Amino acid sequence: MTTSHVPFETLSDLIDDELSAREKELVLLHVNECADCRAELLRLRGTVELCGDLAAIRADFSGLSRRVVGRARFRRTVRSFVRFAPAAAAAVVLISSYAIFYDGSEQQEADTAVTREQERIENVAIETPRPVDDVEEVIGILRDNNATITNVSDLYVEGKISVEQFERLRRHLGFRQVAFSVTNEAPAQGVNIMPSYMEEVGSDGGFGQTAPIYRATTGERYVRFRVFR
Amino acid sequence: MSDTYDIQVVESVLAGNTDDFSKIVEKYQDRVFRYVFAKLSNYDEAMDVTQEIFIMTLEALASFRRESKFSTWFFSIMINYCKNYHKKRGRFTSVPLTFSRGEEEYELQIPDHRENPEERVIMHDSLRILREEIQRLPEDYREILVLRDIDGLSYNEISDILNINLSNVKVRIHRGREFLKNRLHSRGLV
Repeated sequence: MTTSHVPFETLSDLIDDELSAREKELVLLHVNECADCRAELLRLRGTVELCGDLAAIRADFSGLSRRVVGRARFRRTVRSFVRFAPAAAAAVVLISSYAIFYDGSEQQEADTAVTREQERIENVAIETPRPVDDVEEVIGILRDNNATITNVSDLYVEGKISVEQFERLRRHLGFRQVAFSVTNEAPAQGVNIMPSYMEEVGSDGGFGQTAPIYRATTGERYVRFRVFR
Repeated sequence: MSDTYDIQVVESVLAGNTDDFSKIVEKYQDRVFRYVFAKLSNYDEAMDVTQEIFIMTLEALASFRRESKFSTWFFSIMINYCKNYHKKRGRFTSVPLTFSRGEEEYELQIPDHRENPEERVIMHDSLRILREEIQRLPEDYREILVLRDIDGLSYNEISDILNINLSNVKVRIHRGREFLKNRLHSRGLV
């Protein structure tokens, strides 16, 4: 141990206190005499200590546990709805069919056409269940990101957010289709969401007119966006 | 707080006291965030992923078989989630920062002036360099060094979580440290 340099693995074990007392003593004796090994040990210790400094990063976890539990509950509710929606639809079909047949002993022939039409509609409903609209989830995401919701329509949810917060919001919205434009107008109640310079950016159609892009260079900047349903 | 504490909390949550899961969040949030942040190097993204990992864990709690410690099971979820997230990550970078109008190309600047805790702590260039070099480590080494030297897990815990034997853990730690030490040395940091 005193004639050849200490292997790096042994120095690493020394740092982690993984050596026996005897091994540790021999290594320290050598390191005390060998400048190269001493320098190597100091470099290794510096590396590990620097990693420890990185562990000192403290994030702002305020509200994290509340958000976790709340979001999990919401998803569970949505899943329950999705799971039971077909069953509920089927129940409605059965009840309405029963009502039609029960009531129709005398009017059966007259109602045959109605019943057939009813069955046709019900069959379509069963075969092509309506996808669950995630507008509530979208609104939840917007609220979590402190976005201002300005309009909710059959087609989209519309809102405003600061430029700094937009990137994070966009990530939260995942694969949903989003159109947006940048402006230096501060969010204010009652302001028309569609100014003349509203621009279609990052969308595949249906949002705004192709006016010249407005690029704010001074003052505060905001993003107006639409999340399509 | 031992594994017994974790098990008690898990049982309470499974019995219907979902709010008790906040105890798990509060116990592990630092470790999860440090791991994710070391992987992603983006404060906001790391915070989002941290939240998602806890939600996934809560949703999967009923499948915890108690064949291992809760922490081992939980860290396995964390690691797998991060691996999958890395694969999907490209598809999430969907904010179009450049766009063209005729011949001209514009870039949408999104300045980030937030003074977040990360920025407050990382006042020294050395930590920035360290993060850069950790990012450049081969995946196997980066993962194990984060677990060992940043998250402070023991060799045995790492062995259980990564499902590799103890000697393999040691080898990877040694090689990862040597790799990182050489890189930091070449940049005059150690």
